[in-house]
Amino acid sequence: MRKRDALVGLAALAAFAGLWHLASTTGLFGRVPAAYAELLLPPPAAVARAAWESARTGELWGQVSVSLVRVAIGFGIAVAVGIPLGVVSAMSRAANAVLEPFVRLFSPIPGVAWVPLAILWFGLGDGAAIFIITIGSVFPVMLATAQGARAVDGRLVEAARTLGARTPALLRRVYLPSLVPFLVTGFRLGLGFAWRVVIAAEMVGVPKGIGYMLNMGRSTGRTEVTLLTMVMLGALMVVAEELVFAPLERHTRAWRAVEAA
Amino acid sequence: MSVALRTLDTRTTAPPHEPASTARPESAVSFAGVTKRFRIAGGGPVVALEEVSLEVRPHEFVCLLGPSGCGKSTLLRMVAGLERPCAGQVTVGGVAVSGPHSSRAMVFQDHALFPWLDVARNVAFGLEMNGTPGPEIRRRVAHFIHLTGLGGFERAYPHQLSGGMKQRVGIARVLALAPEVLLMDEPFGALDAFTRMELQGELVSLWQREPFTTLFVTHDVDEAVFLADRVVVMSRRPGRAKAVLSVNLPRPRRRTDPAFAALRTRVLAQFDAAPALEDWSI
Repeated sequence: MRKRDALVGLAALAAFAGLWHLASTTGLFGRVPAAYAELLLPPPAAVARAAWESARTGELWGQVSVSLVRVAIGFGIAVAVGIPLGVVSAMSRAANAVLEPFVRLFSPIPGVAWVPLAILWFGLGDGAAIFIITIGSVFPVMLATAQGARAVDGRLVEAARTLGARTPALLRRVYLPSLVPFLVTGFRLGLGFAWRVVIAAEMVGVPKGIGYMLNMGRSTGRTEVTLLTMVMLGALMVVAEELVFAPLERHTRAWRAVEAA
Repeated sequence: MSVALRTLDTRTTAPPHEPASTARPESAVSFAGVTKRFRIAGGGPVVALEEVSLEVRPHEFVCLLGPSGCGKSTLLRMVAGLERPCAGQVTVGGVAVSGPHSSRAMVFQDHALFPWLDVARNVAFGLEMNGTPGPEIRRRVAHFIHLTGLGGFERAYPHQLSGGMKQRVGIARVLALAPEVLLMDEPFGALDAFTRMELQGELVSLWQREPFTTLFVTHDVDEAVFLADRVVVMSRRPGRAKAVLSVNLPRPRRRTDPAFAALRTRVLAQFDAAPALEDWSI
């Protein structure tokens, strides 16, 4: 059944590519001259050629890896800062009272809104991109951690203590596993933010990276490069979802459901 | 205890105390003048337990029976080391309780199984905590899973089990530690009547195989009469041990037995009248 669903999905994608090809070779069904159509909507074959060419020269992987490294560093900092802040704000009423106004004030500001300041402070480079990614993804990580730390079941802590668990074992064997489902949610949200923010930053000025490539395609009249970059973005998200988040969620769903009940 | 109550005594997280190995004491668990006061948020102190004294003999099955709010669970939690008396003393095997210890593990009403561990790993948890070697853990886990009728469910997770099966895991998890005293806090309270009777029967057979000292909290008169060697009837506000009744019916007990019914009536009568503390034998 699942296999057939996947085949139907693939067939629909193929039909979409066929329609795309038709639209671009007929000048958007006769609405614009063929030369324009080439620029407005290059056919799938042109995108495939661009993919082959940029893969051969290493251009594609080069730009993708620049963005990936920026996200990895920026998100890594967000996790390193967000988890302790989340734990502290869940454990200490005073810390929460101090942190909450900042969270309320700063978390609704879209990450992209930090781009001008970041460029002003860090110049046009990796520093600005990493700063924006960190700012954009630290709040979801922190809030999910705090929520998870508050939700640790006191009964389980008591049960573990009567079974002989001391503090280090309690942290490792009860608190941490209780936190995992919340961390998965926080990481998924945070990485989503990070990814959007880095593309936006690279589009408006930070050189190199996927967002830069997206914009260069347009400004150099190579629309197929822009389209290729968009396809790459989707593919990367599918890979992250299938390799990282879906397995983690499957693994933690069991006790997530129990806690929700 | 109501959640609105706050304990006056906050020293409940003292490190566990290793019981000294002494000669077998006369009583396995002893409560001596145990008093517990709570303070209602924004109000005065409430006496939850007043001067409770009770001796539980080795291998004895004792039920603490009473309405909610009579402090019976608090008594049990004191033995577990999760709460401390404001006055008086709780001793297990002749040693004062000063914190939780795996020799006094507890079966909880809501089972409190670790949802991220499967059945076998839940049962192994306490053994892993006290440093039991791996092969011995596997042997004991297999043994107690078999004994509690959980065979074939080793790899199941708690959310995949029925309420009755979950509580079997809760019992196996504690029995695997060979506790000095088995503490059970209304363990069958959330189960349907038929599952409850089934588990009561199985608990008694487990106990008859290898009589472990058991303190069992319940508000179900039938359950107390079916299980206990002695039933401690408790009153509310202040919580007191009102009467101690010995149940001398032969096992396995039958709920349809006229003697069983007569005994149940006498226990129920304790909740109508308010006689002085005395030791009844029936």
